[in-house]
Amino acid sequence: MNMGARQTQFEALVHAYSADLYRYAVWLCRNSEQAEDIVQETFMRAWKALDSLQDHRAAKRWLITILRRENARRFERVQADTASSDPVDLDRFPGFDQGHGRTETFVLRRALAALPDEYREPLLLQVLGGYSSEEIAELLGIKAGAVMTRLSRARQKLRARLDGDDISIKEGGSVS
Amino acid sequence: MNCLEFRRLLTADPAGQDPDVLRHRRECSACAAFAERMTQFEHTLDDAVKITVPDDLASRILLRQSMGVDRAERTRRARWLALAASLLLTLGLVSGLWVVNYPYSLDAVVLAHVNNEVHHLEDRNNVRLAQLNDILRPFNTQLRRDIGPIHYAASCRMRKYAGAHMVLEGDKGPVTVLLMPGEYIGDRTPVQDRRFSGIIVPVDNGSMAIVGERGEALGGIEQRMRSATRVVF
Repeated sequence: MNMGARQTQFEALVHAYSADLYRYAVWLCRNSEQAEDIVQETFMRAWKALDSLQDHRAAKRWLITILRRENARRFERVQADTASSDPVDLDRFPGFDQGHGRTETFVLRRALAALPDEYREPLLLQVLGGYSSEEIAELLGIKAGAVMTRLSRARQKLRARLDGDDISIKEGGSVS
Repeated sequence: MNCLEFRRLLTADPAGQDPDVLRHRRECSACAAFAERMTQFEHTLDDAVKITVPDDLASRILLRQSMGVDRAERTRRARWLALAASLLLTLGLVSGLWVVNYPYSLDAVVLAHVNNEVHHLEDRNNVRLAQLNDILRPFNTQLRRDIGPIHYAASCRMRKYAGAHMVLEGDKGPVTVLLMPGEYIGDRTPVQDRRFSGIIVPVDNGSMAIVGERGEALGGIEQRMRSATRVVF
């Protein structure tokens, strides 16, 4: 691929997917500054490896895979340096407290942020990414049946919170 | 399919098109009502996950990529230039001839940039220092103190590298300041055309051009910029 075509393809990827990748990253690390760093790093790696992207229809999944790897690297760094492991800062979400002015949206954002990663991530991939349970299973390296269970439980927990049921959704518990 | 199975599948994938699920929904009014509530919930969930994205996110990604590309190109160009220089040296030694040709000079680029974007001299955007510092962050540059009114500020491409374009308030009218990281010049270089005059000065990470209408005193702005600017890494 020549340099001009490569640049055009890259710019198209940035314009098409940067917003959803950013949202996904914010929900993964629950910090908008870290999320932007991860998205920036994701696209830098994507640029360097652009020639390995054979099928443009798989571009979004390819980018999400890179982003998840970047997030895992960030997580390892935070774990390695306990002094810098900041608590989750929900109020640093851009627009977090607005929620289009709807109480339900606000409550749901809080609930989603407090959901264990195992439940939140498949749900984000489905709602933000539009992926099927099989595709989510492939991305997360788990079985499709387990994805269905997690998606179902994630919604049950969120709906319970929205309906005012005092179910603790912060505890990890056993996840199938 | 019983109601329990229907609700389990619907909760896992409300947008699913499983024929058994769709049939049960048509046949069971209680589950149809449940499905309706799920649809409402999905709308709220959709709103909740779609948090605000910074307006200039894509621009910032592309800017960083362009600077990365420029670094790579610069390295490649440096290698070619080294090879070309050694060939030229050999030729020069043989023929006694030494020719170095630059395609376009920095002063010409600066004047062309100011003239091409002359409409920004009319801008009165009242840019805050914090906003300007957001623009300057990719260039590892920050302004640590007030530099007076900022009428316009944006990042833009100069010759090969991205830089920052600002319009400040001079004694007689608007003055353009271009920060050009990576564009190194040896000495202070005056620039002038029929309408504008100015100066390009070396700074820590490249150069800075200050250009106003002819007759504008630029010393004050240069001093303000120099005392406020810090290169941060």
